[in-house]
Amino acid sequence: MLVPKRVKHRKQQKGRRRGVSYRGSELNFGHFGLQALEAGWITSRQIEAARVAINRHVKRGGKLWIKIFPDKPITRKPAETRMGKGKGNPEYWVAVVKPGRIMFELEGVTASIAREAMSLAAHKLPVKTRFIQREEVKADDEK
Amino acid sequence: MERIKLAVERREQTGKGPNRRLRAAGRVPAVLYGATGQPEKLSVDAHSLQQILSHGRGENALFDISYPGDADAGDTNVAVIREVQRDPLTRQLVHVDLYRIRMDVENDFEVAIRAHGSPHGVREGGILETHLYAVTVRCLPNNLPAAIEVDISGMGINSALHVSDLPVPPGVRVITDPETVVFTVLPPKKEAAVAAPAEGAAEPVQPEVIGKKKEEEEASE
Repeated sequence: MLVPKRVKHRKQQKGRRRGVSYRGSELNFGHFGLQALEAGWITSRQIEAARVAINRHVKRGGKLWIKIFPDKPITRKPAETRMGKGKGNPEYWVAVVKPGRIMFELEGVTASIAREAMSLAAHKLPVKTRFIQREEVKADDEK
Repeated sequence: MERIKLAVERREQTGKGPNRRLRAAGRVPAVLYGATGQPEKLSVDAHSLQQILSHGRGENALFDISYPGDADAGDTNVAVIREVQRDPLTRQLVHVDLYRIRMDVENDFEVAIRAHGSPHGVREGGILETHLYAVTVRCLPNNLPAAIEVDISGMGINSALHVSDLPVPPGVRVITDPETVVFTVLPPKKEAAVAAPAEGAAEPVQPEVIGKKKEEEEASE
């Protein structure tokens, strides 16, 4: 699972997820992508589940890029603990995703396989998504 | 090279409010600048520009900029699209940069690379990876190709196609580094690489906190 190697601080504040993602909203590597349409926190487990789903569907073909990284620690207090006594312990890691963010890119497979693989991955994620492809690939498909 | 007539209107107002009203009225704010003349604030019909861009034309087409009521300016107001800004979610046009060029002077243009054929390395199980989708070329505007077409059917596994291998029409010089890789055919992935790690794999180790180690060492001293 994806986890940072080194961090400056063990715990972070919650933060807000306002606005849209201007950065990371274009396809940079592959022909196909999975774009978030909602804001959310994607945990490292969910990213891993989506990665496995895509790789299993495309089998040995295709190259995958994961364009989000879970660099935000989320803390949780132990069960049956009274409130107070400071912030809880880091429990898991999330990537902060805003609408427009392209989370996965894929190349080396046909559009139909890529669409199905991304659909399987989307079911593992807590945000609404959309399948996108490059204009030139779209034009080739139409031919 | 195809020349497309682009009807524009001058706009006086700038800023967030007027430009939002412009977009709501079906127009896109644009700016025209370049080698000759002063920069001008313009607006373009959003639908017609979208039509031009969506059909693969326009990315490096030459545009004859025409103002309402003006006579045909000939070669004096020819422009190319330098930048297109789109909304990340709706993909609607937000702003367009038009770069005015002189027809008798060489300019730098971005030209798309279009691959033809299926590499025989892919038929053997390899994966075609595209590293570069466009190259920068220097040429006279009349010599500007719509795209650089390249046949990749001869590529085998572990082979690469570089910028220097691209067939470039006469009168066009490629500015991009000739050693830059355009396409590679990767060998097929091994089964082990695809296999998923066991369910419920060990919890990730907590990352090292920068500066923490140092403090602890100092404290022990």
